[in-house]
Amino acid sequence: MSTPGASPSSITTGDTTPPARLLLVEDDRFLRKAAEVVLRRQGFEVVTAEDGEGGLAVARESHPALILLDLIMPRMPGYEVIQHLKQDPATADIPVIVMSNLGQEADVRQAIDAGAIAYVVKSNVALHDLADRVHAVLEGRRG
Amino acid sequence: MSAPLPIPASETPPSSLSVEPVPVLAADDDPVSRRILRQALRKWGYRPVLCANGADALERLLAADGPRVALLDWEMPGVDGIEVIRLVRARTPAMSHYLLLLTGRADNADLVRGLDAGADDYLAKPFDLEVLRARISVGARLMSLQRALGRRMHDLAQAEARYRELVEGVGVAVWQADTTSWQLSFLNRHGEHVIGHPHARCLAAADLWSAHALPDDWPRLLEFRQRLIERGEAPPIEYQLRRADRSVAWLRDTVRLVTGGDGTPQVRGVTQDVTAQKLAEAEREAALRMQASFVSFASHQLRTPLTGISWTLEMAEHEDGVPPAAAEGIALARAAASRLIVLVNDLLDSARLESGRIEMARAPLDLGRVTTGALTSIRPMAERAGHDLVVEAPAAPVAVLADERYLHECLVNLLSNAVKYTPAGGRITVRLDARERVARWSVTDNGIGIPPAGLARLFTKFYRAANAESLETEGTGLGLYMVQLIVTRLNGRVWCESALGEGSTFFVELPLAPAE
Repeated sequence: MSTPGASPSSITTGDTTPPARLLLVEDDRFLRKAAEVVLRRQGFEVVTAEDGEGGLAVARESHPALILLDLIMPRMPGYEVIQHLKQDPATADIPVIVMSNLGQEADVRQAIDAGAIAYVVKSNVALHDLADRVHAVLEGRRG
Repeated sequence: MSAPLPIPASETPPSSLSVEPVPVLAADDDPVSRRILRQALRKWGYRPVLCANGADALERLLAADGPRVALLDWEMPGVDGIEVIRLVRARTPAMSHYLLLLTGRADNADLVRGLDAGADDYLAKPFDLEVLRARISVGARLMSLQRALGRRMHDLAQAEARYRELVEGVGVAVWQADTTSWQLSFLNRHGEHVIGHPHARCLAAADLWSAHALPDDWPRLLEFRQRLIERGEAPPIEYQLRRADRSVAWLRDTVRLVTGGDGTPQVRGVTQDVTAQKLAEAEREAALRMQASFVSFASHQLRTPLTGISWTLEMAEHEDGVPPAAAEGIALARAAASRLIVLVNDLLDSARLESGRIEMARAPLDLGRVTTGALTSIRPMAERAGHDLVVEAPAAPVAVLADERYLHECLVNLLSNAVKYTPAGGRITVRLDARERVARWSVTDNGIGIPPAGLARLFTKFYRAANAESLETEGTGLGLYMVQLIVTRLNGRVWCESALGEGSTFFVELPLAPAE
């Protein structure tokens, strides 16, 4: 069992690049916990925030490689968080994957228009698939 | 006193085609003259109406269905011929009677007196019966024309009245205005109720619309006018107008450009009050929005704890040292959570499809590509069940105008049904072909089939055939319902042919995209 907060344990490739840091902004503590554990197990460093403002603050402090962002949250909804991120040159380039249980076309369009690079409906995706999406995005960026 | 008339020698029937003999009144105080006139009139094909004095003649001529042609002897005791003519003329519309004055007086002064009194013609005694016949015939023809004209006028008046009733009665404003000032030159009486300002003020206003239309709608009205003037036509416009009682009405103007009497362009318009429709529409919209947002909210609220269960189980599944029995339990719980999620998603999708508020693209789309995509999605599931997947599709694209995402969902739905309801090691065939004007998909399996009783209800909401229900397989009873909603929405049709225990074929037909 991996210990939360410990350094990632699953670097098996032997390369010396540090694990990619992900920011997970999610207000539901069960979801936050499960996603955090599974993503860590997948080799990511995970920092978390439990509302929109917190997420924005952590993004500015910790410069994550990618942000997983919920939409419906207390203290600033996800859409607004994206706008703030995109307005700030320090955070504008961080890719944002929106993960929400809203799933109508209008919701997706609004998130993509705001600057998200992908949109996942949480209930329809397993955490392993989510981890694969994150890898794909980061590799795309690197390549 | 009039001289006796000679008995008519020759007679020709009047040129009138009417079956009923035309009545002709003859008034003469001399019985012999009356007898001769009666015989003559009868021979010529008229119905003689004889009167011995002026008062009697007057009464008959003024009767509603009385004779319209009359021969009147001037010289009669009491009311004489001239007096009869004067009184008839005074009491009836012009040209209603043809009155011929017969007299022994032959000087010009008398003639002028007779004609001045209103006689149509004048015949001096003794006269030739042929001349009389010809005169009566002229009179009868004139009166027949007059009657026809009268009927036509009456019809016209009726039509006019009907038109008025229409214009005044259907609750629209009918108006005319010139295209420069937009001041009304005409407005029907009822128009004031539609527009909501007194009739006189509507006509007096320099520009009714600029005075009372809500400012938000004014730019659209200006565009509408410009378009009308530039192109000669414009589609109807709906706008809000403040009425004299300060309430706001939704009005709809349908207009066309006409040329006025003075050659200037004029707008002729009909204005309807559509406030009630607008309110009903808004209520319906609000109800649909509420339903949509409720569905959206409810699905979000349901999905979040389900995701919690699902993700937590996924987290637990891969923990080190989970006992096998627990791992099995976790896997089952995950599967159950997935089923619940599918159910929630299906409910959401079908509710949205039902509300009609879903946006469905109508882009040219190759069904071959959709087929390949759906097969890719379903292949892992089919392989797990040991089924053979066979595709028969033309090499050339089969283009329809549709939404790829929804059609993909349809085909995946039909394929997953085929996989689920076919015992392991079955054969599932997808065929695609283009027929005349329609594209047809068919999905055939050699599975459990559908009982005849179930076929009819197969596409109804929450229906699951008896043998599908008893099978331990997941299914929400919404899949085929949604397929049907989507296909119908795309102007296509879906149906099924099946033999119990042998297999089923589902067909989907969609209109082909029109050739480029």
